[in-house]
Amino acid sequence: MAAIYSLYIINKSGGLIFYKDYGSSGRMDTNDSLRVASLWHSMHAISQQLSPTVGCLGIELLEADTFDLHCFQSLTGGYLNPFIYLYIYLFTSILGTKFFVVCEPGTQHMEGLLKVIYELYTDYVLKNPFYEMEMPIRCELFDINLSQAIQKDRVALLGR
Amino acid sequence: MQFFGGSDISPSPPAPTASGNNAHMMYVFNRNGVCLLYREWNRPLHTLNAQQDHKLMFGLLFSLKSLTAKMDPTSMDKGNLGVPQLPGQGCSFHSFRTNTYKLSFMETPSGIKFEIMQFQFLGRGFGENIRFVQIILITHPKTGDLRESLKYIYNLYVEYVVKNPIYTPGAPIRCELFNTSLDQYVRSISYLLFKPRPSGTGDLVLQKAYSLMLISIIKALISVSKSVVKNLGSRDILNII
Repeated sequence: MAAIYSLYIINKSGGLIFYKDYGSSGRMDTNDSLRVASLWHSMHAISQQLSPTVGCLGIELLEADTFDLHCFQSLTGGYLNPFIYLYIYLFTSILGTKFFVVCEPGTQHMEGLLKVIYELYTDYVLKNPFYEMEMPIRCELFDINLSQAIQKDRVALLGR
Repeated sequence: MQFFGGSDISPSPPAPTASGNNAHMMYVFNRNGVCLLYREWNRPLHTLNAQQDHKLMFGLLFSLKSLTAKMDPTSMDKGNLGVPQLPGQGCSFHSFRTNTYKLSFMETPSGIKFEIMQFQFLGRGFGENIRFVQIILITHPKTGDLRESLKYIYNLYVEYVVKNPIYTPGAPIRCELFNTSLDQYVRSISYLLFKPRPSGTGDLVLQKAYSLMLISIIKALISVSKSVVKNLGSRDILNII
């Protein structure tokens, strides 16, 4: 029983910095996951160009036959005041990091889980003094807390 | 029934209506990536010219299909990333959503045998599989599942385009009847399926119904009173009073 199949984190230039598989039967090898991540990055950008109206921020949810893909891009939720845009402009390394989970079709509350993962990322990865921006994430604390969060989500799902 | 297309080259976009506001645009591609039909109802932003836009859209769908086929978590045996797949083979997708629009996608599987017989009979070439199309509908992001609607649109395509003897496979669709029925259908689904309804429309309909009811009640009362007056003599009325 796996509600979440896998989690990816990609940096602003499309490189995969974190990948974890949670028991999907068709596990991908490292090369394929890197390819898929960069492909998703470009698809995300193209979808913004094809928007019929202004202000498109890219794909949030992709519904495939056997899975759903929820994507969360950091610092894009809701209304932001102009000073925050200035801040983003000055510290662009945070902007454009994308988190996406592959889960069972129709799984609810994935946005909430992605926000939790984003918080963990800011707490345990960005605040880690030994972490270099845009590089693969190798932080023990992040791993531990992430697996706890996923476990909690699964329990919540079972209880529902 | 009229099957013949209009005289102009590009299908004229219909005037945007208040009810059709939720559907933005629609694309129909054939197997080779030729845009057979592009219909636009409400599109304020054009970033590219039409040809580039169609190419980009087809490319996006092609890549997303190979992405989903590769990502499929339920199957063990998947091909390499980017290997083109036959329609109906591998895991595909049916929609994606951004904050400004929702794209619904349908791809028809090819029914080869039936096709060849039919088109041989109609004097068309072998192997021209004109039933194979991809239909893309772009709507408001809060739209529900549109898979059934896309199936209906595909049926319209079969009725008015595939069965049209004048239509040459692979050419842009210039069939007026198809366009009008499509417009009508999209307008009707934007009434039924879309969550954000145009404000005030429902109230207007109710008001109309209420006023009609009121008028019919008044009419009935008048006719009843008339018949009462007819049947009763003037003396009876006086007695009643």
